[in-house]
Amino acid sequence: MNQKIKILMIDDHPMIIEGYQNTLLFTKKENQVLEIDIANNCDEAIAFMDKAVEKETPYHVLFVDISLPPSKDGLMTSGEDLASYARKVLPNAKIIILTMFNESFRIHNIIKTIDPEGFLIKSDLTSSELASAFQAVLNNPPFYSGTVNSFIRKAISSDIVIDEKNRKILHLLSQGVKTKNLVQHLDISLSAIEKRKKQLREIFEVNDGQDETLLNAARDRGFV
Amino acid sequence: MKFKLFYILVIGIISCTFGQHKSDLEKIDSLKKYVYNSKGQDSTSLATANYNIAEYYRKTTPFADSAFFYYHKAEKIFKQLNTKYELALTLYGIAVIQKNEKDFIGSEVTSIEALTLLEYLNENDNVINLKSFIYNNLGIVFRELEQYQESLNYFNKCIELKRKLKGDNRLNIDTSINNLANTLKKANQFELAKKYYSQILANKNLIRERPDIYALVLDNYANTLYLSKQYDELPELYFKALKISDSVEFRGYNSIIINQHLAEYYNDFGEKERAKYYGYTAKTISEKYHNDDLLKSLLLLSNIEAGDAAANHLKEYIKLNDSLQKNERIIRNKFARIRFETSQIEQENIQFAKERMWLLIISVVLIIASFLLYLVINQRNKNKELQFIQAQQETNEEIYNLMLSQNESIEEARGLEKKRISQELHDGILGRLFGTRLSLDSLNLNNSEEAIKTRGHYINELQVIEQDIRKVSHELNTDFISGSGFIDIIRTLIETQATVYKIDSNLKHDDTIDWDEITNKKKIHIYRIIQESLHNIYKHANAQQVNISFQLINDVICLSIVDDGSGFDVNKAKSGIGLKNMNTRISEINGTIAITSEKDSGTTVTIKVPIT
Repeated sequence: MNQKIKILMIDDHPMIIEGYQNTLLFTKKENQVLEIDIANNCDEAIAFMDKAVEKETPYHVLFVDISLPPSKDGLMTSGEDLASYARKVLPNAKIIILTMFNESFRIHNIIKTIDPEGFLIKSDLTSSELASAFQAVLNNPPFYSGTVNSFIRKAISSDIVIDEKNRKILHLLSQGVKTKNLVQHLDISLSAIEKRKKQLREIFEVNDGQDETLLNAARDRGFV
Repeated sequence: MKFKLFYILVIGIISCTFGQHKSDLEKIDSLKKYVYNSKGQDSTSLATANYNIAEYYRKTTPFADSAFFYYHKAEKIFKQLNTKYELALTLYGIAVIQKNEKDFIGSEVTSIEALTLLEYLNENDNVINLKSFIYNNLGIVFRELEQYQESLNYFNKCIELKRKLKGDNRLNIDTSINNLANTLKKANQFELAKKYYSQILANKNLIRERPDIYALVLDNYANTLYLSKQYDELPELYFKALKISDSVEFRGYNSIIINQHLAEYYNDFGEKERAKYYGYTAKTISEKYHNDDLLKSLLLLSNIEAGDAAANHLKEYIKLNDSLQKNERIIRNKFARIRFETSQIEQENIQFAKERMWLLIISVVLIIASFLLYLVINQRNKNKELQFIQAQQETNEEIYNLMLSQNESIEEARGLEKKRISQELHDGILGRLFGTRLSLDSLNLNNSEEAIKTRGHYINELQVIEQDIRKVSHELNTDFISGSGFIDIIRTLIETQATVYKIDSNLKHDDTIDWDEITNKKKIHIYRIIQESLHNIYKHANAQQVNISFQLINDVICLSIVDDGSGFDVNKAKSGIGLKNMNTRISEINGTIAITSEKDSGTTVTIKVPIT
């Protein structure tokens, strides 16, 4: 019996979607019939999803790229938002996140908010891994790529617990954002930020006041 | 000195004895010359000379004021020298003049002063003689003041002193006795007066030696008889006196009084014609002297005559009296003035001292004031200079900041560009590379004809990506903004200034100039020079177009600013502040400036600044 699988691929690079398609088509099982829709931006993706809901032909698997140009109405700013939306409208769909980002903050955040069935980092992805990930997601989710797994392991193995705000602070600092400009990103006061930074320094046992040292320590422990 | 004194005294004596009026004046002149030439010589002889001049004036001329003047001079010097006898002598002279001019009170004071001086001296003949003269003078003064008792006392003292003197001075004593008798006569003590007169007349030698005095005394005696109404010997005695007097000098001075007495006598006895004769004679003689005697003659005639003639004489009398009184007053005033002038000079000296002090104070104040003024002006100039420097620094800072902000914006642009390239690499190239890799990877296992074909397609795709990377690499390599910062600032400056000034502007720039290598100081000065030039062009040139160009010739930046304005005379305008400033700035960066200008065809400013 043929297994019909409806897939929505969301990526702004047609070349990448072509790569996914090629891989899946070459590696699918004989009995699997792939029905692939392609969305190059958020608006298209929303349209496909809404249409699927309307026709009651929900997608089985969604390939979501994280970095996408925002939607026209500005509600969707990235693949993360799309994934959240998909979770709402298509609760049974399996979501595979594919991203260039390999920073720990994003990974942590994505796992927390979406808890995707598949999480693949583009830079260390091969076609065989993609193929096995596809199969694994269909039958035995979740499937996380090696980088993601090692990150999760690092975070769990260290007994350090850092809340969301502090993670974001570390992330923004690693992006080169200055402390005084953090206020705009986090909606908390500068003194609160300074307090949190002090807390972080204590957690990572950093003695000097430089951001660089703090970031290095956090990087070693897998928080950045 | 003694010789000089002697000489002066000798001249004095000679001229006293034999001198006539004319030769006296000559003597006075020679003495005056001596005084004039003796400036700086010893003061004793000077004072003596002055004294002698005064003596001549007093004794031989009617110029009492001149005499007084020289006496006064001598008095001053003698006072300074503190030579009492000479001073007393001088004061005596003054007292006599004062008496003659009817300043009796003054004369009394001066005489007493002289006497006081003499009290200090030992009594020798000279002193005694002088004292007696002074007493004589005082006697006359008090007689005139009608204090007869005092007058008599002084005459007695005088006679007493004269008697003390050695040698034959009978005549001298007689004169004093005559004076004494005159006082008595005036005091209506006729018997006593007659006695003294007779005493003199008893001297048989007198009529031989001094007939003039004898005549006078005789007349006085006769007059005393007349006044005591003993007419027995009258008018014979009068005639005798007149005869003697006329024998000495016909119708001389002494005969006036005798004639008057005769007229008086005849008038009393009603012999009008005779009275008139003698009255008119007295008047005629006294007219020569024009003094009190004439006055008396006129009064007498007014008594003798009757009617209109009497009235005329009286009128004449009053007129003469007035003029005499006036003269006296003038003379007295003159004396006062002579005295006053010295005190005035003294006062002037005090005044001078005061003025000098004031002058000193004023000049000190002025000097201080001008010094302060100098300080204030100096300070103000310094402040101005400081303010100018400050303003200069501010503008320099402004330009520097401008350049800094320009650098910042350049930096920002760089950052943005970096971000853009990174984005391009990440989103574009990396994505495509990933897609291609994934496709190739999946095709790797497949050796079908179709797969080979598709692989070829992806290999071509790789080539496209390669080209894209090359493009990005090239973009990274070309520093699209390096070095353009300063010229952008200049361009902005020129454009904004030109817009404000409503001038068309054109900037030509040589791209070979590496402005990053040029020091900020040079850039700032170049900026300021352009600013100043534009300002000048706007203010003075009335130009339509200004062309500014930068050129690099042999490592020297050549900046030329050319306008098409009215031009100016370069030599005349050299001193302007704007040009001065430009010159200072140029020399600070080792540059040169050349300005050429022609009337109505514009100005060219050429500035050359070496890069290093």
